[in-house]
Amino acid sequence: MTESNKERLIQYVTQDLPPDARARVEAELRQDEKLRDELLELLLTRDEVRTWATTPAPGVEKTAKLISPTLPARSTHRQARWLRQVVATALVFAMGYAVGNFEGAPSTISRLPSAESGNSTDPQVQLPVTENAHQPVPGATSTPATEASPPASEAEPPVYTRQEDGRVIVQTVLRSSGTRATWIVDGEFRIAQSDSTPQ
Amino acid sequence: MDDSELAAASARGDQEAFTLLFLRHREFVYSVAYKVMLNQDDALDVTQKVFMKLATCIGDFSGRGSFRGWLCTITTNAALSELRRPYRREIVTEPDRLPDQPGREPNPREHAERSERHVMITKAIEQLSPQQRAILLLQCHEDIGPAEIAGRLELKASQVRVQLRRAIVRLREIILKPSRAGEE
Repeated sequence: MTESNKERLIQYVTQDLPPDARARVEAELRQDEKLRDELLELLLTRDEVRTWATTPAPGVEKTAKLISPTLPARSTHRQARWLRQVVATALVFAMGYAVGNFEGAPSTISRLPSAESGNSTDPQVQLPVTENAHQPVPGATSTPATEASPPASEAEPPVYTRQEDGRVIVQTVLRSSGTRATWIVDGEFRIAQSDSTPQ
Repeated sequence: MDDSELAAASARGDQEAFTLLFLRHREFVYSVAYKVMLNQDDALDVTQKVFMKLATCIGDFSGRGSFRGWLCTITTNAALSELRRPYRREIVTEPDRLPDQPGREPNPREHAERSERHVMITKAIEQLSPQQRAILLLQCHEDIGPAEIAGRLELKASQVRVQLRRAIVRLREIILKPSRAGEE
């Protein structure tokens, strides 16, 4: 029995051979009785070690004294979620404010978007139909602003409404056109304009 | 619920699920820790530390492979780290005496469970280094080769191969010595 044979057998038993090398060892084993005896001894050793590894250790009954640790508090998760909603809402407001200011403040304001005004073609402002924007949002805890749009010179603060399902409804008035816009923030940073009843 | 489901629930903050995992595996963790450290008090400390760590990193369990195997890796690493601590007592703690040794009254249940051969094998394994025992434990529990063991213990694969080879050869000599003496 050569040392290299013994070495390969140990590698075979400890799963340290690639498939082709394992196949060669197995072919040799079929023909060499001494190699088989050597393998048997190694397998016996391995089995004894496995028995040792899987047998409970002395003193294991003392683990009954141990106490299960407490998981970290869940409130941090809820706070993070609420914080994300607040940040998302603030972003929406900032975007709406920026868009409104970016369009400028014309002296004459057309309440309703029209084809002539060109606002409806502005890619940054895809406005819903104005009359739907005046409908109260179901489930909202605050009443939207009154039907009459304020003059552009007066800045109407946005109205935030948090729904029970966690979504935030933001209603703003674009300064340039006086058009109302409704933004829905659903907590996943999706911004959806809806002129229909939220779900 | 199986371990993967309990782990997922624990990651979501389910204390009950985590406690169930703790109760289910605390003896296993202790046994692994003891077999590396060979000291009951140290093994209990490591067991508590492992579960405290698990409470914060339970979400790291990917679900691939067995939860117990993952736990075995964490425990062996924790036990080896504990043994490597620089301010650890220099006095080497004697391994706990096995049953039927002088100075300890054998527990009848333990005595029944342990054959003479098992005692001999345990003594032989306890003569190996902690690292060799950790390697053997991972291989027995996870059925993995030296390369993967090296990854889990953050060792070089060549180092693991050498340690494993030495352990197997040494144990074979000890385990087979009485039978060979009988043949002569």
